[in-house]
Amino acid sequence: MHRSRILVVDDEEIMRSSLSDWLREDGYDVVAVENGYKALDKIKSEEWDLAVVDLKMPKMDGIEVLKKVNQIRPRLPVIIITAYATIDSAVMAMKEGATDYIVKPFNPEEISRVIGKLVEHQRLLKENIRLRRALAKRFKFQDLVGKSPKMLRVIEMIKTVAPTKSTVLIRGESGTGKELVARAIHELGPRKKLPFIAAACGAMPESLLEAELFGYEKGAFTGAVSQHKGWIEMADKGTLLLDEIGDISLKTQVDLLRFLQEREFHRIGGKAPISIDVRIIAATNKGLEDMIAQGAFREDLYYRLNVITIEVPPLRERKEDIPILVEHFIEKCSLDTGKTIDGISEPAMKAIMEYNWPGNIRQLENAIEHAVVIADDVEIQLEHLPHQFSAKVLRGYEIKPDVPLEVIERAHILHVLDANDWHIKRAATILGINRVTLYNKIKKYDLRKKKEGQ
Amino acid sequence: MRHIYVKTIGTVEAAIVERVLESLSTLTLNPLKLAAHDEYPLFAFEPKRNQYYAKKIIENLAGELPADCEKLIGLTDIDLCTPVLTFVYGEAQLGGSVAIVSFNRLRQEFYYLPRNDTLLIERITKECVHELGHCYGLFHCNDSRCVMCFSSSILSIDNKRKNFCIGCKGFFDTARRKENYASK
Repeated sequence: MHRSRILVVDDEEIMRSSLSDWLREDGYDVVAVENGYKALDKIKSEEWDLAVVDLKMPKMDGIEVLKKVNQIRPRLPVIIITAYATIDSAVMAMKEGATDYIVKPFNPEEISRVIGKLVEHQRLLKENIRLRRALAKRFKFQDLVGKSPKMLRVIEMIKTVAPTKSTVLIRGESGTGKELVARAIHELGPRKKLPFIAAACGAMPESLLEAELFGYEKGAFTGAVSQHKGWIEMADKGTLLLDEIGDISLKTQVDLLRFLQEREFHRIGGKAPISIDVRIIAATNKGLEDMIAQGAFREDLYYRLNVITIEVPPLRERKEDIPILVEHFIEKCSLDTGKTIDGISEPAMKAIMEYNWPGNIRQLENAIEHAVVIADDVEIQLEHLPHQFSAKVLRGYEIKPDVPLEVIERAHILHVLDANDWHIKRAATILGINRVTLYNKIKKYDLRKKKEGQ
Repeated sequence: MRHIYVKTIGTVEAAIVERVLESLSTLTLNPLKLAAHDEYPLFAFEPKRNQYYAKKIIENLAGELPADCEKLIGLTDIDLCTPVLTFVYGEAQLGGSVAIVSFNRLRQEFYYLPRNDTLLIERITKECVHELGHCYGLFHCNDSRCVMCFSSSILSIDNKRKNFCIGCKGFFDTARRKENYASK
């Protein structure tokens, strides 16, 4: 365990050794010096949790040391000690920022309490700073990593739309970071201190989605044992992300359109209309225009949502961002797992660059997380990466320059599904996509489980 | 196995010392041995404070350790202090060989309460084990029931037990084994 470090500054040897001995018995790491100059050198060059400084010292007195410490290390608590206490010196010390002023010899109870309290305060302060840093790393605008022109355009667009109240439609393939873009718009806008609610519209049946979106009154349907606030209500004054908007039913589209027009809605089973001030962001990986043509998506809802569009490019179209994304995910995963991974070997990076990343950034993040967890080295090696995207497996699909991506994607998904006996959750994890996306791909490519004997 | 010497300094009641030795012998320590009595350590007296500097007494005791001595603990009735603390119940060389414990502030009479020898013996025992712990390199413990917890008042001494907590016991046993091995 880390021992708190205390610097003792006193010109009298007997005082220095006596105080140091006592503090050492208390388990502190103590260094004692005889004058202010040496003390300032120590404070400049080393980390301390507390300084105990004698008031009366030749050449540079305790107050002078205190003033200098406040300039060099303003957060370091300083206790002024003296055998010649006066009200003037006590007032002066406190005015200059001393944490405490104690008269020598000390009452054991008093000094133990004062030092214990300050050291604990310093420990909490340091922990707070560490946690804040860790938290800041968890989500920040810089999570939208990228230097490619396409990504820079996205970032520029986010900055432009964030301060406004306009509805935004974010489009992009699955795993490109649409939710991250929505969060960035929220974080950079005036509503950043208010709720951000991400409503996953594609993952649930119509009735459940309506209940989650609009909420319900007690007794509205079987099982509604108490009143329930919906996502729209929870996002009041904040931002509501309607994720996978292309997957909602026509009935829900009508209800949603009504809400978007009037900014009012009723809880299911409720009579009184509820007015809500919420910024709407919608996201989809579907071609909404095609859906309109097929009658699967309402045109009026489309125009309501499509006020400002942000296209998030797939990873294969911004491969130049891969190295910094890899670095970013290694840092993030190392922090989460407590491992010290410094980087990635050249063959591993080459394999990552050559891969097409159908699952986009989410798949890349999963692959790096997998590698960080597996890695027994300070550097990620090729064998640490998930097997499904290694060159060996890809060769099985006969990659040729004239093969469309969809053919490879179809074959690979089918291969993974078959290898996992069509266990959807397991296959989705291996593919680095979520279950809904996998179901969509199965539907899109019309994939079927082989019958016995086939 | 080497001995833990107990040395009386100044005026100390023999009956109390006898009971302290008895109490200490029940704890798993090295065999105890009574050393020759010492007179009042006037060299350590501080007239301005009417107290004795504990460290000076310890330094003096450290200069005359018997060959078979693992640790030496002085028992005295005089009021002890250090240059920075208004008083101490005891003092020890951290990771050294000598410690001293004063009965003075452990007596009920010091707080204007009726004499209670049983309580006094218990307090002295706790302080002896605490200071011996320092001699074996142990720091103060955060567990208020552990004998190595720092006692800034008589109430905190009464609150703690005369044994080590699990963590301190482990450290103490290891340190003792090392010392015994080194002395062979």
